[in-house]
Amino acid sequence: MACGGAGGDVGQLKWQGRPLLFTPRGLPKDRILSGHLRNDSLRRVDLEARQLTLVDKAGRRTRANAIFLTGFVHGLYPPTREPGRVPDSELIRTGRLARILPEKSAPLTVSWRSRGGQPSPVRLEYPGGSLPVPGG
Amino acid sequence: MAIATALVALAAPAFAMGHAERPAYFPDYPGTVPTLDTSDPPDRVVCASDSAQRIAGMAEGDRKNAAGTALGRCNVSGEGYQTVQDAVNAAGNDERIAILPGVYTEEPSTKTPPEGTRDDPDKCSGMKSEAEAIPGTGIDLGTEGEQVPNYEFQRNCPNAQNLIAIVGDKTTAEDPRDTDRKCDDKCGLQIEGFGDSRDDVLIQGDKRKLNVIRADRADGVYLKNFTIEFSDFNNIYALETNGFRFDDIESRYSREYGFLSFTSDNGLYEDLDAHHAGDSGVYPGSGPEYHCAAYGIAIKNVDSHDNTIGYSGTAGNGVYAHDNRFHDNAAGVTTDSFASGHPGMPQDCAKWSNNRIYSNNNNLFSDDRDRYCQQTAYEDRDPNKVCPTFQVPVGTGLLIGGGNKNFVKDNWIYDNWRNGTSLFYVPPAARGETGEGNPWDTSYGNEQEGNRMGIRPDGTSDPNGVDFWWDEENGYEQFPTQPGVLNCWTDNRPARGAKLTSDPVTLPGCDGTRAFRPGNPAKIASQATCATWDPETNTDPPGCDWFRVPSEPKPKKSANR
Repeated sequence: MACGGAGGDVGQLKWQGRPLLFTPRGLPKDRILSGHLRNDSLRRVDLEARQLTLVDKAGRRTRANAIFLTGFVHGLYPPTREPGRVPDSELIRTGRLARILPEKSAPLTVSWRSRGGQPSPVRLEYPGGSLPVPGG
Repeated sequence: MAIATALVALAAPAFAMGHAERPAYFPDYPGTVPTLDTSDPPDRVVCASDSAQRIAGMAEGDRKNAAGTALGRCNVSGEGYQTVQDAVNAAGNDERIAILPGVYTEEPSTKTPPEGTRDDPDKCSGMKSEAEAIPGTGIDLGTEGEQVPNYEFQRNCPNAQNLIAIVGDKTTAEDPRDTDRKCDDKCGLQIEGFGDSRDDVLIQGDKRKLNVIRADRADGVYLKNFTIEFSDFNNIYALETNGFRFDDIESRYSREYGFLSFTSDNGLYEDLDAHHAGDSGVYPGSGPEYHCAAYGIAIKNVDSHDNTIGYSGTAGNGVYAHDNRFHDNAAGVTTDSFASGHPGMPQDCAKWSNNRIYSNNNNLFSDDRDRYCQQTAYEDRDPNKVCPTFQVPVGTGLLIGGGNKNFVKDNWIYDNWRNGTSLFYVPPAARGETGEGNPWDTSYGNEQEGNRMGIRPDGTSDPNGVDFWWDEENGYEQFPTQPGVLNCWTDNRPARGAKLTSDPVTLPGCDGTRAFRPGNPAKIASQATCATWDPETNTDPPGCDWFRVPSEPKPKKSANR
């Protein structure tokens, strides 16, 4: 797992094209990173959104939300009334789980709130690899 | 009102709304909206212990006389009942049930266990949905998903989930030849409160039954003149029902929905007061698939307020809503293609006309409300403190998320501090489809015409934050050969001396042009961040501005004054 320094893609996943990083209107402290992840490996990659972490140059974590979507979706069940085990199909549909076949891609949106004086995140880490955050 | 009488068969397995439902199918035979028949006295009378006293207090006149006559039948065997459910159980087709003034808690139903009957709690435990797939995905929910009660369950154990159940189709166990999913008995039931007004009859749930009234394959059901409250899901629910009418009813304090119809047709919601629902006051979801050739469900003279959403409809197709008021909700009206398992996706062909959609700035997502909802179980909540079921952009008048060919025409849309209307794309993946056939199959051909924006009917200026917001996407009708007709805006009018406001600043007119536009990626991505909302663990997701109520926009002084 790569820690610290922006560098390039490490691991099975690559950015497909250049992801978009922007500050949403009316939320000056917030940042949104949106793009598509491509599976460059020869095996299916299963990844939970909660396994993704943003880190700064020093390897410190930035609290962030990640979801494998590029637009809005809501759950079949209200968040407080989900069954004990949510079907994988529902996790995939709602962007909490990505199942990316070789040569295929999945959308990803990551958002975070910058704290005063805290360095910007430079890498997005996942089990087995990491991706650079543009501008990081 | 244009109500068609026939619908081509369209059947799709479904999971529904915010709670898993069995696979559901559109009715595939002609039907009509029921009309009230008062030519004969009621066939059955439901009486409360204090009905006589309440009737004595009614205003003199025909209604009091009719109630008094009915009161005389309360103790007649086969005519008088103490619960609505008992009267329904005894009823045949086309019967009229009168509910005399009083409060009805349907106590025997509340004692029915979730899986069965009072006599046999295990009676229906095996009656669950078989394996089904989410359309287009090949993902088998049957092996990994929740097993949900099937129709046989509802027919055999009607009060396991429902305080009052009207379940009208014989099962194949009753008649092996009956496989038509069509009402056989308890069809055309009229259930009417016999008070002066809807305030005189209260049907009260116990907050544990999912539905207070369930009409399931109950064609022709007509519900009228009462108040209903305290469901754990829907106060009134029509499923696979061809012909239904909700008339002069107040629905309040439902955990999720006030009035909900799903895969039903030939329906009319009218003269309703729907308030304090955790999701929406009225929900015409999975509406009939006429593809703009007709409207199968009409909604009129409804006052829907103080809900999370006034009106919502995932796959809310073929609905004509006119002359309603949607106000003081977090969002006024939404229709969408946000979820899976709703037959009729993607959403298309609804029409809103002559509605007042205003002041939808009710912030149910504040820190205080978040804390209250986290710390207070549903059963213990103040019913006037709504806890939202799903997230919405607070301050929005009307939102179309992934809809096609909808008409927003001649409405009064004002004082919605975020957007008067909002229109954006939703990808096929949202409904569990791969999108390989058409990855851009939503948000085209929506027309917004002749609306009065930022002005009250009395002429007072009362601006929206932005009148029209659009993510700038325009999808394909058929990919890749036929782009959809452009979403368009025309002849909308601001308050005197004001200008229409929009994002983007310039919007397409309605000249029938077809075009594909991929949309503004930043606008689309901003919506995605809101999908991570969770009322317990993530109440204010970074990047999402939906839960921050914009400040009230100030009327611009007219240059003409």
